[in-house]
Amino acid sequence: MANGLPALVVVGLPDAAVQEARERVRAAVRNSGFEFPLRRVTVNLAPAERRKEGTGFELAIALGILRASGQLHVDVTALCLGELALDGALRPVRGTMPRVRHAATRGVREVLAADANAGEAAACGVESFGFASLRDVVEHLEGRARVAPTAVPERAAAPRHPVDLAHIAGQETPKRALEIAAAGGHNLLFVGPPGTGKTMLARALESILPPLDETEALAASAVHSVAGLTDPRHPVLTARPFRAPHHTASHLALVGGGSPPRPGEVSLAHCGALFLDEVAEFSRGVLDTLREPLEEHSITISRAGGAATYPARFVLVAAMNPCPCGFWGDAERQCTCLPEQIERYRGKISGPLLDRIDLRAHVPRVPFERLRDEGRERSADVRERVAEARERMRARLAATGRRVNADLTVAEVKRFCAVNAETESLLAEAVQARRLSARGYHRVLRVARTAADLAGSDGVRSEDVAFALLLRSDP
Amino acid sequence: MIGFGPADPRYPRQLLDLRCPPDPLWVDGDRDALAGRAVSIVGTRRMTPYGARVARELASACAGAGIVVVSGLAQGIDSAAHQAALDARGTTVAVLGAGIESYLADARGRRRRLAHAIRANGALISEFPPDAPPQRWTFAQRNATIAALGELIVVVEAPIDSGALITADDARKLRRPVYAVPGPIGVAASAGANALIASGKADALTGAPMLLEALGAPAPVATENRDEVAMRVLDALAAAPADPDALARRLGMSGPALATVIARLLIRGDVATAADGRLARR
Repeated sequence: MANGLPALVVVGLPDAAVQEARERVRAAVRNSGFEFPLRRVTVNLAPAERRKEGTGFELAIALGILRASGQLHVDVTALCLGELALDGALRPVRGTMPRVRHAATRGVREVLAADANAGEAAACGVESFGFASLRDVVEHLEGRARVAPTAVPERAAAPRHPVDLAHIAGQETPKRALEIAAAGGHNLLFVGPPGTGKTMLARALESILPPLDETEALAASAVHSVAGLTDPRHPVLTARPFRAPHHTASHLALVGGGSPPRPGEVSLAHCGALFLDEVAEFSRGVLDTLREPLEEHSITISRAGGAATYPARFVLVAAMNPCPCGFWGDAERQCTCLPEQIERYRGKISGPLLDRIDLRAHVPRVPFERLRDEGRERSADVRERVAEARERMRARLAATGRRVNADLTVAEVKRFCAVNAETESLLAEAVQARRLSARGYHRVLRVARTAADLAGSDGVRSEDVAFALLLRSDP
Repeated sequence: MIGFGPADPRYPRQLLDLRCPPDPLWVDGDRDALAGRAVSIVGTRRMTPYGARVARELASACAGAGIVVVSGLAQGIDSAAHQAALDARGTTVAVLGAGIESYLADARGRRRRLAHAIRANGALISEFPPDAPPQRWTFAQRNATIAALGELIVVVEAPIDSGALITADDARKLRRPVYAVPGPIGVAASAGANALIASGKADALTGAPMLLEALGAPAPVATENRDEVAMRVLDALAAAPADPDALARRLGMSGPALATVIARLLIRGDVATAADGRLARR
């Protein structure tokens, strides 16, 4: 604060929203019953070389001005997050969770935030206070009206899933493929004529994914916080996210982007599942951008304003028709597509994308008389089996830093997926006859490992390998 | 590429049966490919997996017996027959409905690769000048050439209005034996072939052994004996591809037991997974 013409200057590479903060801070300070100093006020946002974005700095700027002008009598050591309204009210901001988590690693133990953000901050393990206005913050800091720390918000009750496996008639093999995908983190492709329940099957994945553990829950919630999708009452996710972008999605929507870069669907699906219905209808460029997240389990978005890396470890479930009209190979109806159309259609998911898909299952039309059969397994039971299989994987892979069988390296496949001599020689025969590529060989063993885990078997049995062969996606 | 007329000693004698033999006949590839015995295999562009399998079986049986497979390099059955002959290390001849250079300039992707493979292991032939573009009538005309080149002709799958039926008609006029592969009733892709059989214009072909017998070629020695369960699985897949669940129900087998049998068949190459994830015989 210096002598000179009354002014409020913000320096340190602020973006447009931060520049606007000047007006909001000035009005909020006045309307909260304080005086705005009639001097030259310079606010420096350090480090100066990094671009600052968003409205989250306004509470901190206002408190700084009040402290410097002697209207606030105590020093503030807490992380202050919040946007100010002109009347002095405190508003929530996007991305509270990752900011608080980062601050916590730098030793910050206390957070002052808007009411709606306080729960989110508390969930990160720091002492968090929520306020309705700038005035309330000052009253609290000066000890006149202390606010109790916000309790760590309760986890939301387990969600009710719209689709249960018990709703789906028949389809034993696709269901089994779904279970393997959920347990081992394998990517899955459903192919079948229209109206056979590919979408419903894929949606049922949500209901059999294993529960989130603590670190996964926070990581996934942080991405949602950045995207502004956090539910203030239950800021921490309890169920694995299931994202289903429409096939007209742009690559920005899918992998994230913009300036500053925001997370896209692949990151919002972190720790959960990404469902691409009618995958062959997505534009090729969009599908190509999936390569990095599928390979690296994260996505780096570089823009002029800066680069951001968001996590993106998800199970990919894709569904498509066998051809553009959908009736290729159908016994009842004639397919009207030309061979070239079919080739082009299928070519959409070839190459790098197909390379990352471990399982492919045909979803047939279920005969009418079987639509009513009973005795189907419920999702809850399958989910229990999936959770047990994950537990086996966790115990086995603890030393490797990997969580699921789909991520096993070649050396680890060799170590963990030993099969008996007969099965091994059968696979060797397939590789020699070029019916199985080296990549396909390892993929079959990873899937077989998961099938064995689901069956509670310590060793990979020959029937596990047989099933993996049946469901492999490469020709 | 060279062109030669009927007076040339290398000119295929079979073509002289035509009312107006192609003059000149343009050949790109092995000029002697047409000197040996040949069978014409034709069918629809929109083939079903059944047609693909039968075309494969017939063409590779011919290739195995050293008989040249002649077809029209169209998509569907034609391409499947050419490809199977190549895969069985046989010789195959494609009769084009356009000039050879014109075809090669337009073909892309898989068709281009197939055309070059045929040129390397057989020949591309055409009765049209190298730069002639394809026209509606050129295809009808080359159908007669296909019919004349083979000592007999097989229609694998043909709907009612298929060009393959024109080829069959041409062959009948040339007094070449015509065989048609029967298909399921109600499947459009086989309706024309079934009608040929019903009207007595073609004999029903029951399989590759019958074709070899008709040609007087030795049947290959029976391959290894498969166990009974595997045979039942292959039988169940003979008509159409099936998904594993339907197959297990039909055969009354448990999922894992069936998976083990199928895995073996997959590895041996008797069965493959189709692009839509179903199991199909090869």
